[in-house]
Amino acid sequence: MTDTCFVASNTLKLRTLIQQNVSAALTVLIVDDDPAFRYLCASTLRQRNPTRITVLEAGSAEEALEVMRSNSVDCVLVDYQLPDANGAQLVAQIRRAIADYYGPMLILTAGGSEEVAAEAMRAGAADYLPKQGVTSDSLQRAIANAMERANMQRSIVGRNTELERLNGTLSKRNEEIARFYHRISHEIKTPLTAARMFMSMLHEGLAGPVNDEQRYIIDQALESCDQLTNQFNDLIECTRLETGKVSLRLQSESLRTILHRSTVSVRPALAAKGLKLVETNEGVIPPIEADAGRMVQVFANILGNAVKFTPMGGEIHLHTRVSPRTPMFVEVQIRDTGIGISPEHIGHIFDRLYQVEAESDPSLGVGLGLGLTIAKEIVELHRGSITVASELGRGTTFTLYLRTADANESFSLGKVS
Amino acid sequence: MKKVLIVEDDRKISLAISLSMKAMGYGIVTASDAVSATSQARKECPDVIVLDINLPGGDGFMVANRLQSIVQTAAVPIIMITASRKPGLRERAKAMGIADFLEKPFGVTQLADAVETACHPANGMVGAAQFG
Repeated sequence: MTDTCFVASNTLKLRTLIQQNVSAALTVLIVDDDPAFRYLCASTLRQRNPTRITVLEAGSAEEALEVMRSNSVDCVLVDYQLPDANGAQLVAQIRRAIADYYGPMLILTAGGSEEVAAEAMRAGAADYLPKQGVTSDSLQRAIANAMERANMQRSIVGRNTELERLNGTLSKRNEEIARFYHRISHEIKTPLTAARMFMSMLHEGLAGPVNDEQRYIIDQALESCDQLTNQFNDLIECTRLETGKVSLRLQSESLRTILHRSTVSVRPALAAKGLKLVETNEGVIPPIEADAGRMVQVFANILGNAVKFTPMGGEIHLHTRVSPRTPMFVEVQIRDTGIGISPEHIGHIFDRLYQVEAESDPSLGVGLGLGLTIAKEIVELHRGSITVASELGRGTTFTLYLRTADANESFSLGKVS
Repeated sequence: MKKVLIVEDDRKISLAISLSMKAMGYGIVTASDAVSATSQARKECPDVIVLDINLPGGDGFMVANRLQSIVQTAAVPIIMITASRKPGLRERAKAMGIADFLEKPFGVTQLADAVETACHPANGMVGAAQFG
């Protein structure tokens, strides 16, 4: 009983499908060198839907291509044996020569051999029908099924084209953003440069003697200029990273040298706040794969951040070791005894947009700037990672995982053997 | 008195550099575009040229190239200045034998040091001192 039900509902579904597809205006091309068979097919098709179906005929592969070039065809029925080609060849030719034809092609086999059918399907035919068994029903059903599949395929192709178009628009937009920032950068830096120069002239006493109080005031102004420059440079840097404009020059580099170069930049700030920098490492640290200049930037940003948020007399610990769990990475921890980050903010500190909103939260104190966003982008460009953990009031720890220089080598060697 | 040619299209920056160089005892000549840069250099025979990269009528590299190919100006040390942070500019300048490269904004002392070094190449060194 269940079986009957199943068959019944399936037939119903098929009927609807046939009605839906074949009831829409349809142009079918029949390619067969036998005019009698063409006539049979055509009349069979017309019988069902006399007004809706247009039947075109071709007696050879060449004729078929000609018809398709000058007519919009929805479905092609191809006899396997044609005077100038076999059906599989014609299917392949149509796919090649009629670029805008996405419709189905059905192969009509005289012998009904599976081999012939398989060849045609490989060439791009949608289905095959044994010629002897062609009835009005089977023909219509085959056409309806093939049309359904072709429509689906067409909508996928359409969606893909749409996605490609969108992709193109987005990358063009990216370019525009990068160019915009470049222009703005130049326009802001030019007056800033002039302002800074005039102030530094005063500072150097080139416009007459300066007393201590005046010098202090000029110092403040110069510092603000430098802050503005740094923030602006960070903004441009962020945009370049986000629009994929930064490419790395990866080399085997000593982490020790990189860390040394990074700490140099924060020494004055450390001294000014009376902070202690404690550097330790476990065992031998292998060279890392890095763009040294970029990596210095990463550590300078994180260390600078630590200095900013650690109160007077605090400590910053810099600990390095080979990652015990994944020895192809070196682990670097930067731990401070600073004010810490609250749990609601910690998930967002690398997030560029979040910082703008967080500015209004007094618990975050001074603005974070873009240093951490840049650090994360650069580390990820190096195929490394950066994480943060913090306890409010006790301090923050940043942990970086950086690839060792031979991580790639041993990986590819492993692949070969 | 050593003479400095300042090639800079922004009036304010040009003024700031001129005033500070003058205060430090240099003679000053100026140009504000790529074309007048070459003619001024040929006419005034400066001891050092401060050259902006972004100029109307051609960029600083083009100007430097032209200056290096003219007999009277070929040996004059050039200090390039720019607000751009495009990667590779510094390397390109270095490869051309530019004496120094300063990123805007810079301080008076920074520029003074660069000009001083360019005017008086380190003992025994021939031609312009190279920056790192």
